[in-house]
Amino acid sequence: MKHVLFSLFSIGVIGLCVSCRQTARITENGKQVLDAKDSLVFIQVSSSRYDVLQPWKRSASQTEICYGTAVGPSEVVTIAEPFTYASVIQVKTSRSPEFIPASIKAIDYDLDLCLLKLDEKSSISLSPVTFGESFQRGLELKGQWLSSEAAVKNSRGFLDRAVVRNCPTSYQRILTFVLSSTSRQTSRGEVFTDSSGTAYGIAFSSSETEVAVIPGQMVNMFLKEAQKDTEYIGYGTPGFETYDLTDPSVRRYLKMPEEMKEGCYVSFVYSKGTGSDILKDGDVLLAIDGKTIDAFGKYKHALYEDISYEHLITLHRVGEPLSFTVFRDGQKIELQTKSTRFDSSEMLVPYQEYGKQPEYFITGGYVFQKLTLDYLRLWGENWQGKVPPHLLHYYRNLSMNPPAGRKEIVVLSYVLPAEINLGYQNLGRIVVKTCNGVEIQEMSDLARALTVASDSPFHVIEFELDYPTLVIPKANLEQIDQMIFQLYGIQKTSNILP
Amino acid sequence: MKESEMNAMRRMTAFLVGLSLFTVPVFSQQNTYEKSVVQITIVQQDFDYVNPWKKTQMSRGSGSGFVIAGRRILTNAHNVSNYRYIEVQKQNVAKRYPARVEFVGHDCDLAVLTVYDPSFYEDMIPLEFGPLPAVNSTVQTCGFPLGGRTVSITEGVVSRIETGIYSHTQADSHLLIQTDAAINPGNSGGPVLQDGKVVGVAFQGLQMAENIGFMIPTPVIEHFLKDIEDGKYDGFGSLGILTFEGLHNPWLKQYLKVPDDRQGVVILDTVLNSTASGILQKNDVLTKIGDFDIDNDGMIRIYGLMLDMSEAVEQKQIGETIDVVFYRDGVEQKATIKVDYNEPVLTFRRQFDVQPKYKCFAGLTFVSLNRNYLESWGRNWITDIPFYLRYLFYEVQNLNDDPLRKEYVVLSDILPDELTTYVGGFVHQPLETVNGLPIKELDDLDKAFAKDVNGFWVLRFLGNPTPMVIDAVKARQKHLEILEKYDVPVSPLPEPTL
Repeated sequence: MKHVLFSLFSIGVIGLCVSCRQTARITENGKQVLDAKDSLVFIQVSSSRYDVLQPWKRSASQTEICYGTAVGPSEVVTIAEPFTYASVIQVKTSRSPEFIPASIKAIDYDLDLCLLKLDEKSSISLSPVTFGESFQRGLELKGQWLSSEAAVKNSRGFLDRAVVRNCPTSYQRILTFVLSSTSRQTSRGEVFTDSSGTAYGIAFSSSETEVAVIPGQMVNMFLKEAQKDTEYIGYGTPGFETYDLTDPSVRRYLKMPEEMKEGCYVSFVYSKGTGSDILKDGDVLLAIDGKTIDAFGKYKHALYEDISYEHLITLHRVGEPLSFTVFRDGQKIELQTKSTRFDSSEMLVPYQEYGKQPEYFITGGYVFQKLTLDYLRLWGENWQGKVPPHLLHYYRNLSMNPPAGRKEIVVLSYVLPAEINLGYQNLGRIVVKTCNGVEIQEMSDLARALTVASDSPFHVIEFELDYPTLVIPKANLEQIDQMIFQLYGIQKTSNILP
Repeated sequence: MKESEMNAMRRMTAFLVGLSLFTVPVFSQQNTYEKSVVQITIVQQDFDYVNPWKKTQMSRGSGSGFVIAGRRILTNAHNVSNYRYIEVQKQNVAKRYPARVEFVGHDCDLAVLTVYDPSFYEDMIPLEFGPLPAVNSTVQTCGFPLGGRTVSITEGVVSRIETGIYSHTQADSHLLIQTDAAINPGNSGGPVLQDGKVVGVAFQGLQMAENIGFMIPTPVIEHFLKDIEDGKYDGFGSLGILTFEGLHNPWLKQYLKVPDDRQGVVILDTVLNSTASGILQKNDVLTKIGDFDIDNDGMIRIYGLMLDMSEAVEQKQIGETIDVVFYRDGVEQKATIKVDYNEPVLTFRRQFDVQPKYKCFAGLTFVSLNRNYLESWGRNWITDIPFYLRYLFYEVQNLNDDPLRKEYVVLSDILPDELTTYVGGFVHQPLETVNGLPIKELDDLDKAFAKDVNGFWVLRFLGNPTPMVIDAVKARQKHLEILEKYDVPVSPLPEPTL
């Protein structure tokens, strides 16, 4: 801290504008532009994940780095990805060699953005930046970040196109600027500005020749909600999937008039998400909020040109109204709905459960787990081709439209060998159907079904497909469980979230 | 859990492959039986399972065989599968003898050839068959492995006698003998002798291992020879049951009310339409098969050895019956079950020598879903095939509950034409309905394509909510033109019906 005060003071003495660091550099149009030394921070994140196969254990903690940009005197915006299992967050500025503790104020995995708040006790005052929302094809942008040695580093690239593409932290697709001919790979929250210092976006992924940037528009949408002191409410997600409608035969089959060239085919309506309440499989989506959607599912944006309709849905904060124009049964109809989200946690097989300990339950040495995408990914590279297809079918075909009542898929993951499970020790990766006659629709059903009183000396579990009936003796089960937990070093014997 | 034909198939590992080691022949004195060992050279041409009116490249191969009683040559089925031309050569005789396949049993990898020229047999002494050799007894392998032109003889011992997978079809399990006598490419089909009598036919080796060769023992050979006595080969049968070796678990045994002194295996399911369905059901405990008591590992004492209980069924021909004893709900019961093919509609088996069926309507090519078609994806087909085909391949036993279904039909290819410009995304998907008619076998397509839905062909696929739509009027006009363009043997379209 001393060092900071000293440097502030000394610079003041040599006559530079002190206020520019304490407030911000303001351009003629009122925008706060980037002041590299006082707007950029270096972030170090320690993460502690859980072992997916032994969810009672944490795996070794890891430390990652990323870069942030000030959006308030003690607020920093960056990408969400490094913070999914964050345990300790520390920030370094150019004015201090010391790390300043920071915490997450808001995080939106669908936008891959995170707002950090610096420890109130720190006297640091950053120079906030506002993000611009313009787009100009071919414009040269400069990437900037603060290195771990508190030096400002640069890269450059050319603004090539705006597209809607996969977000690294969710199953959503989001508006992305793609920079081409970039000078180096930058993907950890570096900010890109034009020559005047106006921020265009934040880098979140890169290849050898391209850098993907979260556009200023998305950053501003995030900050608008995140900087409020109320609970963060996110933006809408689509409640349906579409298919290109380029085939003239299909258009005639759907009885669309010859002159109607627009519209894409609604191929799959989810159980949740924006539009899921009003759309039907086989609808043709003609427009959202009056913006005409073409056969490829794109609309004309004033700046970004052809952009997927998904962006129109993302623009609406949850609860805001929006309108769909649909061609159904030979007629064009207008439908009104409200923006809603299909959260990953509501999927039958969740795409992600960041920060949470995986759900499990152990008895008789049988390890029951909730099926998640993290679990399926245990099969490694090309996991889709290796995972038992029955498990994959729940993720692939039913996640967005679960059968009535089904909330989670409970699997017998594997067996911790012990005398009680003799003969069953090779079972695993199979889906639980019933326990003591109760249908298992989620993890908590299983725990509950095992406590149901009955005269039978056994707990009886049935699985889907052709797998054996599992019989667990009730006698001394608690003592046997204790022995097994001791044997295998398990302190916490279950984790079932409400 | 292991065993039963189905479970063995489910394991699916193609671990037995062609041989790649180089042998150093062990020379012994000239024996009379060497004269009866012949070299078989063939020209092979496989079918194209995606465009079945075509055939693939021709290839040449060679193997061994030997003369048996009745002026016949016994060899491996894999030496002569999909053959176009066969030539047989005797040791030290320049003349070549064209031959043909009289009987072939792909499921047991055996074939009987006949040489057209009767003079071939004049100086040949047919080899006789011996019993199952003892483990650790010495055997001699004769044949024409690579590395030379004369008969090679290698000596080794019998290492193991077990039931195992026959790599030719990748799906059939029979008794096999493991030996450390070198068995190399070209040895296939040659006799393995003990005391001058044939105790096996050399047929496969284990890759990535040393000195692990396998031969087909005489019980399997005799089954094959007895089978063809009536002039046609029927093959091996099964009971169509899935079993679980779970009675090691005393509580399961108690739950299933099996007396303490009994051992056996638990029935998990029967194959749809199988001869055991309706007789056996889930949680029956099979304790005896034929004259053999079954132990908790699913083994029986037969031929003086402990072998898989399927060996009791292996002794039977298709159509014969076998008696079983089982416990249901604590009561001992007896039943007689007919041995039959008892296979699900999609088998794990590779097929040979059968022209694959297909239908082609205006370039839309349909084939029956089978393993050969799936293997057209190449080396890594099991992970690379589209999801739903993989799901069916693994779980057809559970996914198909329609006793009338004969096969699954796949859109294997679309011959390019402007008619089908936009529908390429539907290739390789399994059909559910065409024009509203369910497709349960390839022949259902004729009736289905004679119909249309308001002038369109509407195809729906399993696991895909989006229909494929083709202009039926245009398609009917272009049908012949497209077929002629791609040299597809022309068949007229079924007449439209209402």
